[in-house]
Amino acid sequence: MTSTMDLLSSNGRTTTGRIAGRTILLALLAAPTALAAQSDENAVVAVVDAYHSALASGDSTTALSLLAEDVTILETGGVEDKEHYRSGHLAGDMRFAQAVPRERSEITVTVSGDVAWAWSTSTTQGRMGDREVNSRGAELMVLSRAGDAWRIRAIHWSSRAVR
Amino acid sequence: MSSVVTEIISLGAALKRGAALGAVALVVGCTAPAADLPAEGVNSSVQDPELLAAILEDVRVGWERGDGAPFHEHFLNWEGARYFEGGGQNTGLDDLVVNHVEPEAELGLTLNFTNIQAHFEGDFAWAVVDTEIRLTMPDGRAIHNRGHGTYLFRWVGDAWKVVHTQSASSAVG
Repeated sequence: MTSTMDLLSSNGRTTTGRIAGRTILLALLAAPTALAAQSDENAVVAVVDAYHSALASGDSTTALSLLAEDVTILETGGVEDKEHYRSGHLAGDMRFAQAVPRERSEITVTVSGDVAWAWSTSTTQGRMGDREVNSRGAELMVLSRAGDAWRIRAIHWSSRAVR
Repeated sequence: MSSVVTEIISLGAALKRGAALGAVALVVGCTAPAADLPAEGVNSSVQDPELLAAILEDVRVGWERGDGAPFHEHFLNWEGARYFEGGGQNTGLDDLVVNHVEPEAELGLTLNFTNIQAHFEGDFAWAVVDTEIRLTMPDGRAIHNRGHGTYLFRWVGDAWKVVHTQSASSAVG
């Protein structure tokens, strides 16, 4: 399936008088779609950022509110649902986020209707208790639209030590 | 922030050829280059965990044999494709097959996927699997890891296609 945006991208770079009218029409038709897509993308990034901000500030209520009830969380140790995460790794994740600085790459978002996924990479360097931390990581989140809001349905964190 | 491409279509050249409006530049939307795959309607019958499990089995065998064919069959080879393992990543399908799948198979890789948990949301799906990996490094060191993988799928045409993967494992014991 070719989207209107795809057509615009290919035509827009080789505009001629013959196709100018068509291009203008396509542009006008596509603009609202493109703006909506950008709005979705920004909304997804905002949720991801809000989640990390909540962890870093120790705000478990906000962090949990951004997770869907059926969320699946993968990190070192296993697969957790929301209840297990609440009573398990959440507190440790907040302590870690507060103790060890993390530098994150851009978040890349792909929106597919009412679902989106967002990935980023990061470097984490610092000290957690008596443990030196120096690692590179990747984060994947799957989000879906619930009414007007996006909620996190799945998280996968992985990392490896920098040697 | 996410990457954003602002597509600017200059119509000046065309308008010089006789259009009446004068020089115009249209800023047509702002979207991420790899984003916004068009959603497709799907019949709920395709939301079958067995379909995903069959793909994962093909991919698992492809890993063990160093065979790129199942990857080319089941992965959507698109511009934004990324495949993460641990903290590293492969960019695009060829990078994954040539620089990851083929070399690991040469180390005698055995790979198991168990406990596949499938989730469906319209024409999108994701599967979480437990993984177990064994191989022998060139220096003779035996690797035995367990971990997890997340596979994202889109329904494209008449099949589920893998659009993104992330996996990680750590040593057993």
